[in-house]
Amino acid sequence: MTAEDTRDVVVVGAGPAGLAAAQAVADLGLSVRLIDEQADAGGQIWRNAARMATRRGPLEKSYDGAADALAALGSAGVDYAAGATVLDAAAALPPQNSRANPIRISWLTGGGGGRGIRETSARALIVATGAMERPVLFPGAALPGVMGVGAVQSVVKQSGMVPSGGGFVLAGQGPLLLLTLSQILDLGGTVDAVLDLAPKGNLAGAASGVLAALLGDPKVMAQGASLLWRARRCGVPWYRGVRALRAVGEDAIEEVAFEAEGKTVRLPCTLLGVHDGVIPNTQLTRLMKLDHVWNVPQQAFAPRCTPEGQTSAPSVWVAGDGAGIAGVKVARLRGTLAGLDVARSLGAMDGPGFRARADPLGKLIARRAPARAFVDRLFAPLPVTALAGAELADDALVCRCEAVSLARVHAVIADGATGPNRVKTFTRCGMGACQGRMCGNALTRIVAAATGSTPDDTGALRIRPPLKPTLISDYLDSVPPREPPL
Amino acid sequence: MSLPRHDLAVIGAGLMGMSVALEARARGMSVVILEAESSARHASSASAGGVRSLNRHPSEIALARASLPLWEGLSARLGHDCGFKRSGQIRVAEDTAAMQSLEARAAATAALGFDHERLVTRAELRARIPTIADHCVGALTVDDDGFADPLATSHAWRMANARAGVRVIERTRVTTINRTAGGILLSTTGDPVEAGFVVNTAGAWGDRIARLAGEALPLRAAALQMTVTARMPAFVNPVLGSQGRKLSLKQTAAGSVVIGGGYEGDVTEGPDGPQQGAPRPGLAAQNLANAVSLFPALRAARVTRIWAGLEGMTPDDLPNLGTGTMTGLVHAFGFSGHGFALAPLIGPIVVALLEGRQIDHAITPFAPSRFAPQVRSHETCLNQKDQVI
Repeated sequence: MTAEDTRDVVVVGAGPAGLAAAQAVADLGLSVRLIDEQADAGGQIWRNAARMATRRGPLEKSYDGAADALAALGSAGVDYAAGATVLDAAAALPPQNSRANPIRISWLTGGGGGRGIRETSARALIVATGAMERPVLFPGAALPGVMGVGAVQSVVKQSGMVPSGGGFVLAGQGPLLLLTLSQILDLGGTVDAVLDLAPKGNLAGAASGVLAALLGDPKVMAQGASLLWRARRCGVPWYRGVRALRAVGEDAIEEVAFEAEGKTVRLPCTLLGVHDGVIPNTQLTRLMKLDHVWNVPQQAFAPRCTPEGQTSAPSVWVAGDGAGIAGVKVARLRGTLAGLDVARSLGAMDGPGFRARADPLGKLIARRAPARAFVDRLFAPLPVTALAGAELADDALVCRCEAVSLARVHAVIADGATGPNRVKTFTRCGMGACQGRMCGNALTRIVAAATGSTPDDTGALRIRPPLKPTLISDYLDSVPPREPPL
Repeated sequence: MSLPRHDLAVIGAGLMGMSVALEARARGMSVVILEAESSARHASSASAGGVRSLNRHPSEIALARASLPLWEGLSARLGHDCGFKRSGQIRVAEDTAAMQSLEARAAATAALGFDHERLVTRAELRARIPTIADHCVGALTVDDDGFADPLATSHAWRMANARAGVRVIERTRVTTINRTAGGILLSTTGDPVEAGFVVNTAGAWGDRIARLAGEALPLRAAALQMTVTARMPAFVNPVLGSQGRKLSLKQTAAGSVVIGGGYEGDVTEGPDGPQQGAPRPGLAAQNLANAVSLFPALRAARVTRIWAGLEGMTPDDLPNLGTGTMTGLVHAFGFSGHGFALAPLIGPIVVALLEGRQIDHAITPFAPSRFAPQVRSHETCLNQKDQVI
């Protein structure tokens, strides 16, 4: 096994929050191991930032601030591992906490320079693993050609290519859907239809918060309004109040079927982008068994943390969308704030020095909260089973890896599987290659709805290492040459 | 205050507890199971699911053989598929020294009057498992052994108990155990329970329950590590072990490969004893290296999960199965990592003990009293540790 790597701080994720946190910590003289899964830093929002951030064009605005943030990678004290995957992590709790380095991370190094599993120990961990798309349950969702809008956008950012051959349909709701639509059109792509899944009436419900939102974050509100304006006038057929969404096809999607305005519509379709907002990626914080709380407007769990991001494990912080969805600007602020708090707790900055820098950040974060609340209400997540009517439930898969349908999940809940882990042991839901990443949020909501309890009481799938499927050969390279005698 | 009184209270809703409860219910008793966490949360669901009589400790061979026919009918009896498959179990020798010790083992088993273990030549081994590494020289096998799905089996027992009217009270920890005039009174973190008999099937927490009844029984909690891969094309049918390596390997019906063999991860302790197991990546790597030396093609398989289930290990790796010092209390815990195969038989044995009936099997080697400091029985001295792992 490679010699142990010891740092003051490990930061997982090199998106806006992780970069800001690493920068803040390193600026105060602490050593940082920054581990990121992508080949290039920037996270999802700044995907491919090293090439895109300085480029003029339709995507330019999405990379605001990226170039500055990437400077963290060159900071003295930041050791950045690209294309690396965290497999396991543990935080020693009291009474073992007397150890100098309570954090242990096991991670797979990226290609080039020898792959292998490394162990890093540290005094503190900052988890900045960002957001992931909320799973949307509907019949046919597992067909090739159906993907998340976020995944579509990733391809656009990575390759610069846009769908243009026809048969591209967007379905769902949320800022990311509007943004992706606008970007694809700007880049010369074609979108055949937008199926708007937002219930009518959300706008009225959100209206009362609009003034506070405008005052708190006028820029984001203006961007949102411009996206909406653009979407309504782009000439793409726009179906409102869409229900009973269904992807139809043999080996891949051929048609999308739905109901709108009381009529059944079928459109030819080869690529369907689906979206119902993003949720915190809590795989790592769940693996570490940290406390989580259910965010009702966002319908998702996030780690319980202080305003500075310190979690239920005293040596672990969270920052960015992984701590609750709030967007790129707040992610950067929270990244810096978490970095400062870590530095303070490790003795690299004193209390007054910390407050002097932290308080203004806290105020900026608080000012943006009303705009987030407005967006959360405007695009309130659909009820989890809204698109899987009872007669369709058999082919609406909750777990794609193990092909577990909504009907099967409901059947075992009726049999006494009153928690996500019980459903998992009864059905294998969440036991496949994705480790429950894709189905976890839906499963908690389904069980909570069916049992009449709260998501907090219902809990979430237990996550086991490795966080991502890992080749046995990668483990072997970390075995000592001789096995100790039995 | 008058409490609802049960004929039997079982402490621990793992496979053993559920087997005992269902059997007692079938004999007409009223039964309640008290479970500190949730049913089958630890060793029962973290098990590899081996139904193995191969290479058993001499004292356990008869039990393991008697349990096999019960597995055959278990799915039908419980009304749910337990995933039992008679795949055979095989223990491979990787060099001539290992083969010699397997031959000695076969001879010793035969001398005890058993004929289930059979030596396998190099040619037969290769014919039976064409993917096995070239260096393997032979094996010892039991053709009618197999495996079952621990999750499906736990589920099946849970549902059968529910249908039979056994109440499982989860998230309720027993806090005191006291003998009363008519039975045993259990106080719990919920409502107290009174029962004529109490059975301790608390697994890794069995010693704590025994202590509440005034009995000191040695037990160590172990976090037995298991690793499972993503689905692969079928390449091995029998459950496979190796003489001289820590390894147990099988391919499930779904195609995933489950790899274990006794590597122990970390046990975290909480206020109520062992809390959970945490696997160690370095040990998983050693376990996987063992698997790859027998199946080189496994290098390209992907690990999807590593876990460590908490199991109770006794000093001699044999279970505590027998009456406790408190009248009306029976222990059935500490199966030391190889209890899964015995679960269908433990219900009938324990209920026979409760009813004072004749037991068809020699269970004196498992008597909890063997650990009592002053009484070291003759049988205890005869219990050698299993020589081959």
